[in-house]
Amino acid sequence: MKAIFLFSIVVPISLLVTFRLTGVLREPPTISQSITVDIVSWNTSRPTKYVDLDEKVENSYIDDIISTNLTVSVVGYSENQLGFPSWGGDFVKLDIIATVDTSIGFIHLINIRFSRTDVYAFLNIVDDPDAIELENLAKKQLKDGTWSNEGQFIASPVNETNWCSLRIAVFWVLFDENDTNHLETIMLETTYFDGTAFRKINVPTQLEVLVP
Amino acid sequence: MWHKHIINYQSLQKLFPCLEGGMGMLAYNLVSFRRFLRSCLSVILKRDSILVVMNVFYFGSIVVGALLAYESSFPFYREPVVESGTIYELGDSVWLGVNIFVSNLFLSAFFFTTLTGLVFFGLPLGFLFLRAMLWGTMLDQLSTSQFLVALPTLVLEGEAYVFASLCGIVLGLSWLKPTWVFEGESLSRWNSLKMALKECLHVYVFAALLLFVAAVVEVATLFIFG
Repeated sequence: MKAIFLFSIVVPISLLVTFRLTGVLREPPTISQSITVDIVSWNTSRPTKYVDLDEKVENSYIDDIISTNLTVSVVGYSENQLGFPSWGGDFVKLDIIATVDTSIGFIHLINIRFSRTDVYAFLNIVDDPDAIELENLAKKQLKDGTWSNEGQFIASPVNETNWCSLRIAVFWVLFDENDTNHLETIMLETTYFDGTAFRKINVPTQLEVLVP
Repeated sequence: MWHKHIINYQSLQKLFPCLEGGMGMLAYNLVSFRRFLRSCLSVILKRDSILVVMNVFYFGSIVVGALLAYESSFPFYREPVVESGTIYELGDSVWLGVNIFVSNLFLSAFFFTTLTGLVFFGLPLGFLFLRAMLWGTMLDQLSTSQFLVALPTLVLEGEAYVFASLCGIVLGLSWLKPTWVFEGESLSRWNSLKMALKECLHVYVFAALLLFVAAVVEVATLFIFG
């Protein structure tokens, strides 16, 4: 029985080690370099009625190997919208467009990260196939920013592609009495393999809606 | 009263023969200490079948946890290591080791694993499963070298938690269904619980020893590999 007792520990552990050493469980890739581009900010004084804003906030990173672009299209502002998505509150409609192009290697992951600091707002990332346009990408994870300060949209290339793009719709809901400044940071994180190592490019933008 | 019985010195002597002749004997009488460990081991080995099942359950769950984490939709990356320049001093290491040992023994093993079993005998298995899944997920994020370095701590701590869970299950079942724990003995619930407590004290000697060695190994690992 002592032998069986020992086997009951040794066998699963040996299995785990074998999986790791033979590559069944590969170790996660190490990002050799992480580059963060300077932030691009945009702000507006908070309207008091429905307004078509139709503005674009763009930020990008381009080098010899990769070109990565984040465009936040601020579509419009709606005041006291009774139904979806703000249920009586206000909201800013955003379209997030990201494109990534590499000349060497392949794109490994696209992560759009949303973060905010104020409590009188939340983010509704529309989880509807009609509202999400993906090219050479597959949705991996959508973490809504309704109940936390962080939201995420993660997509990975369908194959080892060197070009991809995505478009998602987001409602930035504000439910204060037009007396609070709101700030939202949207960051495009692109992880790619440049033929020798994994690199990450962070392209941030910042939106502010200020008290009139 | 049962607690008087437990803390009574003569009972302790009876329970732990190595204490005979005073506490000093513990340090000097190695033969007696060895005999004491053997007696603890014999108590543990009485439950060898359930221990085998729990080992397979726990260590198997770690494997499953690692596989699930690997197959999960969320990919992990290891960011470049930033050298903080912090070198553990010996004093810091000892303090860290004590912290690890105390929190593992009292919080993770005793409070979460054993004490919960006293309330409901199934809970220790739940906590064991949760811990194993967490270990599996964390192991998946490590490089192969870090993974191999973490293994001794994983095995030592894991076995200690299996012992702690065994205690939880024995304690929980002792008052719920005494005949399942002490087969062939017609004990009242109270006497069954008292016997289970004695048994668990013996098992906990080994759990504490394993956690102590695990804490030393963990600190040594951090000290050497950073």
